[in-house]
Amino acid sequence: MTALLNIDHITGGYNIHKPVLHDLEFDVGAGEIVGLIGLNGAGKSTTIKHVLGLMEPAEGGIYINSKTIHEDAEAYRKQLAYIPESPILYEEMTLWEHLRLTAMAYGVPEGTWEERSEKLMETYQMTRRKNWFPNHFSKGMRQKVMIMCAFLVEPKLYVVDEPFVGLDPVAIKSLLDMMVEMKDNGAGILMSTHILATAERYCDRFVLLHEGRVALKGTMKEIQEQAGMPGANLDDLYIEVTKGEITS
Amino acid sequence: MTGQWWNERAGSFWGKAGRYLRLIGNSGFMFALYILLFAGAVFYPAFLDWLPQSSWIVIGLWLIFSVLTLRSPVRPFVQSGDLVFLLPLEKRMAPFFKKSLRYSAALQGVEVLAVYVVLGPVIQERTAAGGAGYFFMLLLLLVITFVTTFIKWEEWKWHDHTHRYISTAARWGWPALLMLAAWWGNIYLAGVGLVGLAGHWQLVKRRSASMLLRWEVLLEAENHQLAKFYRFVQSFAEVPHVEVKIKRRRWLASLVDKLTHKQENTYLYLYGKAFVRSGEYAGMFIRLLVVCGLVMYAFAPEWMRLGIGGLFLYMTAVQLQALKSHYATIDWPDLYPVPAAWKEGAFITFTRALLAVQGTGIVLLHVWIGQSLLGTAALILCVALLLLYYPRWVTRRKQKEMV
Repeated sequence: MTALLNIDHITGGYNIHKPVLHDLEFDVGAGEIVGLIGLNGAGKSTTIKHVLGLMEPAEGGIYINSKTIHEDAEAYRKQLAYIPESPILYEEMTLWEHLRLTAMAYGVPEGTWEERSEKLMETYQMTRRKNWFPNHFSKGMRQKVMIMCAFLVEPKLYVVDEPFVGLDPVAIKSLLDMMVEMKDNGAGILMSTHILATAERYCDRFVLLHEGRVALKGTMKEIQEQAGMPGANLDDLYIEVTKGEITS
Repeated sequence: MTGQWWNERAGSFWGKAGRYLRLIGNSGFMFALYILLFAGAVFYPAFLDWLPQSSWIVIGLWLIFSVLTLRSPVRPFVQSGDLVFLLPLEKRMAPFFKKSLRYSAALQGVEVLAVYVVLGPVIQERTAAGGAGYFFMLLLLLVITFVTTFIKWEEWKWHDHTHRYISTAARWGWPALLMLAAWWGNIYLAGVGLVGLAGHWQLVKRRSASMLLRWEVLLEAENHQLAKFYRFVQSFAEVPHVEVKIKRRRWLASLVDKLTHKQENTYLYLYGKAFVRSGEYAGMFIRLLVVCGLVMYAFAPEWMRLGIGGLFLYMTAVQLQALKSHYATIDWPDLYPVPAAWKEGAFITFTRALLAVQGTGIVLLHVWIGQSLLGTAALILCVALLLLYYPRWVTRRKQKEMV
């Protein structure tokens, strides 16, 4: 089976002479959630930027359904939706207009996008704020707009960077439920997070990064075996990885 | 110490601003302005002869200088980090803000002075402020500029909207009365205005003596002032993103909503919303049309009006180029599954449509002001040519920028 997202031995970073990522290799299949775990500066966000096509690897390639961004940029981008760590909003657009613009850009047909949007606003308790501008939103609300825009598109692949920061517990629950629903519908999710207990509960597989290299990867059981720590939880494994003594 | 910080901040701003201004100095826009200034100098005497003897001139002058002296834009020179780091030092910040206030009032004073000098001949010939009164009037306008700036600063400390509105009304009302009386040469009424203004200043000072600063208001003002400068600069060079106030403008925004829901319209939608709501794009657009009308009205020769129409349409085109980099700091437009070429295409289509609207406005103004059908026909031709050549002009500009 070919993976939905395939990171094929990439080396890259902001400076070609000082790569942040070193020979990174992992994949995300359809119908699974993969947790991207690592310290600040381990290379999680840089990996995500490479997947989005905002950065280009110096070596290796990134494939979504076996195609790179260079083969067909529009088809590549259409298959993924991104939830950034810091919400990026258009200050001159209301919540509803953000949803409409996203639907327009991703070709979600009229009728469908309104229906999905109404449902999403209800789920995230934002219906009353439909016509508000972002400058009146709290950090959590801004994050909700990002989440709604991503789920509105219903893509094959979700790239989610630290999605829980600033969200209220109800919204976190809604987000997790929605991720599970999309996964069950066949979508793949790559999620970077520091909330390890949640990651352990919801992710099917894990990629633990340390200093731009994959230290551990696989299911919970597999990474426990790789670390030689049977029965250890994700927190313990993570701390062990950060000591720099485990390399794949 | 805080006064020294102010010097560093102002120095760093002027260092940056100086580089931008040099860039602007070398651009085509300045050339257009030079032509306008030259034409102004040539036709000013004729304009003065034409100007009728009417009391409306005094009212016009009063209005112009009321707006200039009473706007009181304040640049506090605060930064967002100050809301965390400088908050505990608020009591020691007095020298810092004193400098900000003096700077803001002085800058506005320069604006008042420049307009006063330009309108000097009109003032000397048609108002009570002739001879020695000319300098006295200037001094009065500058004093009012400073005093209203100080009052506005004190008002910013107030949380109560109603009191702020009342004070704003008094801050405008007393000096407006004072200036009107001074333009007419009515000493007694001017005295009433002067006493009212001084009294109001004292009241405001006493009321806010024990109040704390509202730092968020200061930051908003800072961003607003900076945005005004950078919006202007952005027509000529890339500048970093500056926070600007968003205006809802329901009716205009609903026009953008009328776009058909299809991928091709993604960037048109983006540019449309930015133009309508963000920054000063729409305001600049309308202001240029109004000023064009006034200048056309002031310069009688038909061929001059034709040139003015073309010039203002060109100036609109130059100013609209700022819209292109409006989303430069946001990743989303680069992530959409929409071909990059559509972005460029949408920019040209949208701004060309705006220019067509502006062109139509200018032609209609000409029909209203001008007396020659031939002139109007020539202006229509000029607008049509500019619209036809516009896409090539944008592409060339882009190529130049890349070089």
